[in-house]
Amino acid sequence: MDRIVGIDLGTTNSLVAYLDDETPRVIADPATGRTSVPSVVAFRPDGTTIVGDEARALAGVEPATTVQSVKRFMGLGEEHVSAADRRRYTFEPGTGGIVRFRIGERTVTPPEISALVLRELKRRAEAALGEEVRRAVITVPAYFNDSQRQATKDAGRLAGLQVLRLVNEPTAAALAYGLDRMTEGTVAVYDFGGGTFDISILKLERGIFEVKATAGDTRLGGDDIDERLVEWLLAGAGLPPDAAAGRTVRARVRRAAEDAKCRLSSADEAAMTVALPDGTRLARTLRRSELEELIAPIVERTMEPCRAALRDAGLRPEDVDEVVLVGGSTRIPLVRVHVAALFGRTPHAELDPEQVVALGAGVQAGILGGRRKDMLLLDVVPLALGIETMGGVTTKLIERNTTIPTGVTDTFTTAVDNQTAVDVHVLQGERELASDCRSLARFSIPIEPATAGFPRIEVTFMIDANGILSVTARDLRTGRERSVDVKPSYGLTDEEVERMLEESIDYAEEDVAARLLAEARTEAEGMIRHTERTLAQSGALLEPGEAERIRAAIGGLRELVAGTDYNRIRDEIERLNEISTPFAQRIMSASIRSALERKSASDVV
Amino acid sequence: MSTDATVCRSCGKAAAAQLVCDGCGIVQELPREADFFAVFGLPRRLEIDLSDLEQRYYALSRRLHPDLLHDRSPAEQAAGLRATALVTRAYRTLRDPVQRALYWLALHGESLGRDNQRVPPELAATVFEVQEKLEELRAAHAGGDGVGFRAEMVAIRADLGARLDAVHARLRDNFTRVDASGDETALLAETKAVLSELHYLRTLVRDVDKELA
Repeated sequence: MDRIVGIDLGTTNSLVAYLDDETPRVIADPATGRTSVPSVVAFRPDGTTIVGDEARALAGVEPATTVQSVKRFMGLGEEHVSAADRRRYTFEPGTGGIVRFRIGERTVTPPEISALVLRELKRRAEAALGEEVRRAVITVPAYFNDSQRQATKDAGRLAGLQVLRLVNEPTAAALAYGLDRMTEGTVAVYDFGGGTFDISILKLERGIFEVKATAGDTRLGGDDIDERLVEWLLAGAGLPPDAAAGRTVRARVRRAAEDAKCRLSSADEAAMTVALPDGTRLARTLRRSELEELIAPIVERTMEPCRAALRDAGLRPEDVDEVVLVGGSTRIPLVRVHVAALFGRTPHAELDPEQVVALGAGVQAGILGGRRKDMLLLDVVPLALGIETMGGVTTKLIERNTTIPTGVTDTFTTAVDNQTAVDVHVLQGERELASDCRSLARFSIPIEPATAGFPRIEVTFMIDANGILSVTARDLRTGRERSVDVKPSYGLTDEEVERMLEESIDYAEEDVAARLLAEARTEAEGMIRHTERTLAQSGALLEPGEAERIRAAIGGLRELVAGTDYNRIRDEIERLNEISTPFAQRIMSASIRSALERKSASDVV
Repeated sequence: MSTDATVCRSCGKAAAAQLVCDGCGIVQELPREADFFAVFGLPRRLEIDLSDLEQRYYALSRRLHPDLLHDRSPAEQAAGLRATALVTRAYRTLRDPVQRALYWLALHGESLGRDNQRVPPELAATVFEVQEKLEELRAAHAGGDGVGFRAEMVAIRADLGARLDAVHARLRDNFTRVDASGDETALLAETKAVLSELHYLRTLVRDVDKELA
C-alpha cells in the first residue's frame, strides 16, 4: 500500500510529514533543505502560478495577484470578508455563497488556491519518498466549522489527494508530544498560529488521546499582530493618505513588520526599513516593550477561549498537568508570559512549535495506515450543531465539545395538508437566533402528499471523525430511505469540484478519464481484497446464501475492472458494498461482543 | 462461544441482547431504544463507577473507532462509524449523573415533561427571591453601584452553589436507594422531583453567572 502523508496546511507556512518506522519526520525540500513551504500563491500574468518562497517574495511587488493567508477565507461567504481583507484583495461581487477572489481575468475560490499549496507539498513528498503520494491526513484549526473543514477536504481533492482524515491542529500537536515524551495526564495545547487560535484540553492515557474541550477563534493570529504593526508604522510615517493606502506600500510595510516582530522575540529592539515605490525610505525602530504594548490586547483575546475550554472540561487551571505551545506566534515572549500566568506553570516548547502539528499529522497518517495500532484520537466537535425551527430560533441537536463521531436523529412532519417537502436549515453555533449562527447547509426532504402531521420523516445527522456533517433521512411509515440533497451555504458542490478538477491547469495535460478509471480500479481492487479477506476470516457469521451473493458481486466487479467504464465500476462497488453491509454489521457486533468478553475476563483476574 | 456471555451478567435482562442484535447490526435504530448500560456490559444500576466506565469506553473505542478500521471494507467502516457514535452517546449519557437519571426516566417511559412546567414548591420561594434580587441589582448596577452589586451577586451565587451540591447529594442518595431496592421503578417519582429541582437551580445559577460574567 502506498504511504499516507500528514500535512499541516497552515495560514503562513505549510509542511508535510510521514511516519518513518515509529518516528514522525518532516520532509524537507531536497533542493533547499527547507522544511516549510510559505502558503503563498502568486498568479502570474501569463496564466501560470508560483507557490512558496518565490511567491512570498512577489507579495511586495504584485500584491493584488499574490494571495497570502488564504486559509482565513476557507469556507467563508462574501459577507464574512473584512474591510482589511478588501484593502488587500479584490473579490468577485454579488456571487453569493462561497467567497471568490478576482485575480486579473480569473475568478478563484479559496479551496483552489489551497490546492496549489497542497500540490506543491505533494510534489515535494513524492520527490523525497520516491513514490506517488495519493492519500493524506490534513490538519485544520480545532475551531474550524463544518464549511471550513469541507473546504479543506475539497482543496485536498483538487490537489489530487484522497483526504483520509482531517485532524485538529492542537490534537495533532498533542499526538506528537505524547509520543515524544510519553506524557500521561491532562494536557492543554495552546496553539497560536499565523491566522488562527485554538486551545484544546486533552486527557492522555495509555495511547488514548481524548479531547475534553476545545475553544478558539479562527480569525485571530500572527496576521492580526502584523496588521497592528502596519497601522502603527503607517500612522507614524506621515505618508499622504493615498500612498499609505496603496497595496504595494502596505505589502512592503507588512513584510518589514513581520520581520521585526520575529526578531523581537529574542532582541530588545529591531530596526525597520521599507523602500517605498517613490524611491524614499521609511525607517523606524521598534522596542520590544513598545511591541508588547501594541499587541497586548490581541494576546489578551486568546485568554477568554482558554477559560471557556477549562470551564467546558470541568477543570481548574491547576488541574492541568502540562501546557504545550504550538504555532509561530507562541515564540513571542509576551504570549508565553500570559500562558504561564493563566495556567500557573511554565509551558513546554521542546518540539519546534512550527513543526509539531505536521509531526502529529504524520503520526495520525501512520495510525490510519496501520503502522501504529496503540494510539487513538477521540476528538470533539467545536461548535454546537442545530436546525432552524419556527420563529427563526436555533434548536440544538448536538452540543459543542461532544466527542465525535456522533449522531443524532430527529423526526420531522408536515405543517399543512398535502405538503410535498420539508425544508431543513442546518446551523452551527451557540447563539439562540438562527440568524446569529453560521448557516451550514439547507436541504429538502420530499414527502408524499398527506394530512398535516401524518408523515413522519426521521432525519439522522451524523458528524464523522473529521467533524464533517452528513445527513440521511428515512420515511418512518414506509421504512424507505430518502435521498437528501444538501446544499452547502458557503461551499463547493460536488459538481463544482469535478468541474474544477477538469478545468484546472494542472490537469490540462492529464487525461481525466484515465485518472478516474485508475482511481475506480484501485478502489474496486481494495474492496475485493477486503471483502474476500472478511469472507475467509469471519465465514461463521454468514447467513445461508449470503456468501454466494457476495461472491457473485465480487465476480461482477472483477469483470468490470478489466473494462474501462469507470462509472459502471463505481456502481458495482456501491452494489457490492450494499450486499455486504449486513455481513459487515454482524462482524462489528461480534467485535463489540468480544471486546466486552475480554473486559469481563480481565474483571475476573 | 455463546452470545449469552454478554447478556448483562448482573441482571440478565434481554435488553442487553437487543443491543448487539444479530439480525440488524448494532446501531441502526438503536439510539432511541438501546440500553446504554448494555453497550458497556454494565448491569442496569444507577450507581456507576466512573473510572470503570471510562475504561470500558476506551476499550470499545479501540475496537470500533473508524480510524482503526481503515483497512476494512467501506461497509465495515460505516458500521464502525455508527457503532462509535452510539458508544459515545451512551458514554456521555452515563458519565453525567443528571443525564443518567434523565435517561433512567426515559427507560421507564417517564420524562420531566409537563411536571417540570411548575416550579417545585420547595424552590418557589428561592426562585422568586433570587429573580427579584437580580432585578434589583440590575437596576442598582444601571445606577452605577457596581461594587455592591457584585458582592451581593457573589453571595447569592455561593448560596445557590451550596444548595446545588445538596441536591446533587440527594440525587446520589436516591441512586443508592433505587439500586438497593432491586426494583427499577421504585422511587421514580422521587428521582423526577430531584431532577426537577436541579433543573430550576441550574437555570438560576446560569442567570446569576451571566450577570457575574
